[in-house]
Amino acid sequence: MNNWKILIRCFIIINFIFFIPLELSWSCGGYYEDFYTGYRFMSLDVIQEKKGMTPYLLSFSEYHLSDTEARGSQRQANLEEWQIASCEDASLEDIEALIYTSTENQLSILKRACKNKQNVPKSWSDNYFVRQLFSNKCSDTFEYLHFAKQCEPYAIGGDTWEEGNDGIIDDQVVDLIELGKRQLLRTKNHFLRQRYMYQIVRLAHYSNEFKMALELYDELDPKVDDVGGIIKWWLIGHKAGCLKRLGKNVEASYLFSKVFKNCPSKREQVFRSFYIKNDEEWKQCMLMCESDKERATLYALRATDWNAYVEEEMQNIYALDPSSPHLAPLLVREITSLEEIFLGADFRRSHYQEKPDEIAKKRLIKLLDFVTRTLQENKIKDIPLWTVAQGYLEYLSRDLYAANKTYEKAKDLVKNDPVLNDQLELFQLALDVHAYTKITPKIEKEIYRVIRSNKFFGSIESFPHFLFDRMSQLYKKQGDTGKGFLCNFSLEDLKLNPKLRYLNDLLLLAKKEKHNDFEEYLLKSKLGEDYISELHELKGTYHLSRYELAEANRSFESVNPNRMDAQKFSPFLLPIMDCIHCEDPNDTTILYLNKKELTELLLDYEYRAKTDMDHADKYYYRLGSAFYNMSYYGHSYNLIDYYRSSGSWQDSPEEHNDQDEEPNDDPYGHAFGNKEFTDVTHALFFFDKCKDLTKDNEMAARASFMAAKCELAKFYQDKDTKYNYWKNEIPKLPEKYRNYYDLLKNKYSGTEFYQEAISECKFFAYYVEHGM
Amino acid sequence: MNLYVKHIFFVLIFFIFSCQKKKSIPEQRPDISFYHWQSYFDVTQKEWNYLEQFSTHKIYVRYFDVDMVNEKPEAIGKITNQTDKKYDMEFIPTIFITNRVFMSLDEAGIDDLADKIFKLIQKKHQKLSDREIKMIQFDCDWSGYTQVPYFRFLETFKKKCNKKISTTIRLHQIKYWERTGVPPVDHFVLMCYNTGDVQNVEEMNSILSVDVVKQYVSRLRSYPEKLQLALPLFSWGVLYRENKLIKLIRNVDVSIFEGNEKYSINGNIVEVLESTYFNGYFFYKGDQLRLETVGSKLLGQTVSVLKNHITPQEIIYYHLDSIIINQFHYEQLENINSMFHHH
Repeated sequence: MNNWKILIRCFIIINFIFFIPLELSWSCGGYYEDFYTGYRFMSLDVIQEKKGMTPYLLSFSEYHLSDTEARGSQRQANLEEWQIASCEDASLEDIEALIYTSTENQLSILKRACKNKQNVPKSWSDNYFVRQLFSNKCSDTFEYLHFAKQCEPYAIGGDTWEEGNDGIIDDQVVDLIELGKRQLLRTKNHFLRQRYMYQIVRLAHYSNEFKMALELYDELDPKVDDVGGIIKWWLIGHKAGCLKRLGKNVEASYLFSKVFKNCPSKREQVFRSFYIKNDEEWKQCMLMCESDKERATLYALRATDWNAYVEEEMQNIYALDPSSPHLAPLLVREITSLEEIFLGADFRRSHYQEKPDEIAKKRLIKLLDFVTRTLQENKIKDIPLWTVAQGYLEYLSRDLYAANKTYEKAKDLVKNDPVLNDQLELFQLALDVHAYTKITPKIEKEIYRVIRSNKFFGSIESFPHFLFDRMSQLYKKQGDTGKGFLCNFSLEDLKLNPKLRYLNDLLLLAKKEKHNDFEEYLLKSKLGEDYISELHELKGTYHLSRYELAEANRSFESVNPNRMDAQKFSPFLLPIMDCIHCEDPNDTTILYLNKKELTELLLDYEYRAKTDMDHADKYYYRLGSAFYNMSYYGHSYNLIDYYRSSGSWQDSPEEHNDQDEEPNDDPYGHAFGNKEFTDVTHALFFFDKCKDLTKDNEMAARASFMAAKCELAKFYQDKDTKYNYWKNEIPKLPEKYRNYYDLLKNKYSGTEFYQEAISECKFFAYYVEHGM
Repeated sequence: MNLYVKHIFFVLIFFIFSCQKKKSIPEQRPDISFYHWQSYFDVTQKEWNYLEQFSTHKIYVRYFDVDMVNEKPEAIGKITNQTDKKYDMEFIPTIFITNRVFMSLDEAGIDDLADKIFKLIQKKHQKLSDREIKMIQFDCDWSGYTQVPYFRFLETFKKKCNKKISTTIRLHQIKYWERTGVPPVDHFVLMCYNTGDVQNVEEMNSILSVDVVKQYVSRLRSYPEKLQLALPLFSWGVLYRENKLIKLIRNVDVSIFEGNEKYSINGNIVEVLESTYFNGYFFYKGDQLRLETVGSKLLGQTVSVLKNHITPQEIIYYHLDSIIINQFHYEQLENINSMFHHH
């Protein structure tokens, strides 16, 4: 009697061990790619939670789960099932330690100990699950687990960098098959027998011994009772796989379709294995089906290909089996595909998405017609879902009136279904946003409420994009340039390539006497808390880069002085070699200035250069130094440039000016690209003036050298320049770019600076020695 | 008499010298070799005979590919040798690495990858041949973004294996080579195929287009390294549905569709009139299949454009299989080869 109880317990545990549904869970609603391709509001949860139907139909082609994800989810589900199967309170950690973490050797020790009715080995005495198996004398379980662990290396992929056996059956595999057969016959438990059979057939299959696998299947099948469960389908899957490899496509595909229908955890694998070579094979496969439901499954398998005409296959399925569980997932899948094309097509920014063409429009209309017909015929299983879908398809086809009416009708149908109810609310919200024709203060108030309190704003990734893209479109239409810009971009975008029109409009908005909640939200979230100072600083920097010193000074005057002092620069420090961090931190003589102080000083130098002829050369030299150092090539580049890309050294000053009018439509790109301050025209002008005006040969040599560096920068920027900076070679300057090097060499070779330049600058030394 | 003897003597001397002269500068033609790009190394007798005609002594065998799987570089599609037979031929292990492999590798990752690849090559090679590996070829469509890590990988690999390294060069990598750089290897193979945009339904032949090749040839002479040449011998059908590329179907020929009422044929375009299965692919009504092939005429036209800009010592044909050797006879490829005839 006692033995009988133990047998039943083992039976229950084994049952759970081997027949756990290894279905993967999708922890959250819709699927979003890392790469933003558009809005997606259709949630897969409407299938997963309500119908118990696998969402794989949506995922086979496009959303292929990685092996790690699949294994991880299976492992978790497996462990949970073990926990239930144990009928005790074994922790997941304990179960995992035995099933997954244990080694073959450990299982061998456990097997022996349990069989010999010994105590639980000390190292496992803390494991509650192992203790339970020992107390229930489940030595069969340990024996099986030990066997399964030995099979593992031949069944899972293993290290791809290790060399396999090229499909030649290993002697060890043959031995394992024989061992499995002996153990199978030794146990009286048919659940265990079925599991052994699975391991044995799989070993032969993965050793490319297809015929042997089929023979083993036929040999062992009569010895194993049909105890149901998923292992039965996994076994049939292997049988089908072997048949396929032997060219028996019809039988294989028929069996695959049965696995597809009955075993959700294998659906993805089955989809990838299903193979029909020609029409005749399809016909034969249909003939093998015993019911219309089975025939409908064949169409469902065909529809699972991402490139299938889903609506056409849905019609085929519907004609055979209107209550088919495959219809709803296919409906949702087709909607997700269509929403990617149609949702917000007239205002979204993503240029990666296709615009709706005639083909897509026909697809939408055909699906809507099909959904409408099925609802009229009332033969489908899930009227609420199909009604919500009908409303959404009407919305996507721009019939907002009909969509509103259908949503209204659906409200009653979905009220007891929280997932579908949420879906309907989100669709309604999207429709409401789309229905705005003008953004008034009243609408801004409504939108602010949505941002602050609507659950979808934070939880549906694409909803904020959808909302702001729509608003941006309407703002632009009504002439609100700044607000339109802020809906899509932030100050960071503008810093990369400032545009006066946008800066002025944003300043107007920022300085408005009273902001409503939405405006305040927009300004602070996109420009920062101290947005007026931010904008003035950027505007001043813009003017400075253009040598508009008076305008720059006026803008800097409006910047918070603390903010202005946060960054200081030393643009008059001019070493022979270009460098990024040239300042000696211990040198107290270096003059550090903030942008405003610098602008004021430049204005002063500019005035003196024109009025104090005795010292004009020095002032021009300082002006030149400042403008060279502020450029991309100088160490104070970050005075003008907020983001320096190392790849921009050849950008001409004209670069990115073509994007002056509208910000680009790349949702991951910056509004106007990244414009570097590579303009050395002013610096060159000042150095040249210095050289002309000075009476000091040393100064002239210095100025000529700096002017030569400006010419070198211009050479880099020349579109015909083939020079590869990354090769670290000495550039060969064409005549038009070596005026000042030649001048230095020919006229100022007697100066001390000339010798200094030669010893410091290898470039110049090379020129002097070898010529160009 | 003396005059006659003298005359004979001079004539003989002339012939002797002219013969010697001809011998001293022998006619040079590129060597011919092939890529083997299958999953199983199982070269049929017919294929060996085919190779023998070209007196080819080496074969470029794709051993495996490297791609990102679960965010890690993994070896996939490894070649298998299902017999114990070893082959007495020079195998050039050829490894295709996807560009994305180099998008996220740091220095340590590159070193590790080079290590793994070399070890696996050695293991694979032991099963195929007893001959020592002389050269290894890498095929990667590197871009500006991956150039630095790819080149670093090549350098690291070369240090580890101490063999000659070869790499494929695509036409676009030639065009701006001053900027995109020259890989740090010993042997360079210009891949003269996949020249067109296969995604484009309007494209005529994405495998090889003389017009596209013409756009690049002017840059070939300036390339700082000697280029060998890889030419295509394959054909495929490009399946479009609603103007979108769906699949590439290998080895299809127009004759398969001729006389079948489910298809209409217009030049190299086959339109599906009735939904049907074809070789394991399901075609929907309205699908379009563009049949692309490279005949000896197109190869000849391509070579006549190339020959003034490149003097390869080796032409590698992509690729060796039983269908292709039926389509391209020895004489046809020899004729192509002879176009590069130089002294």
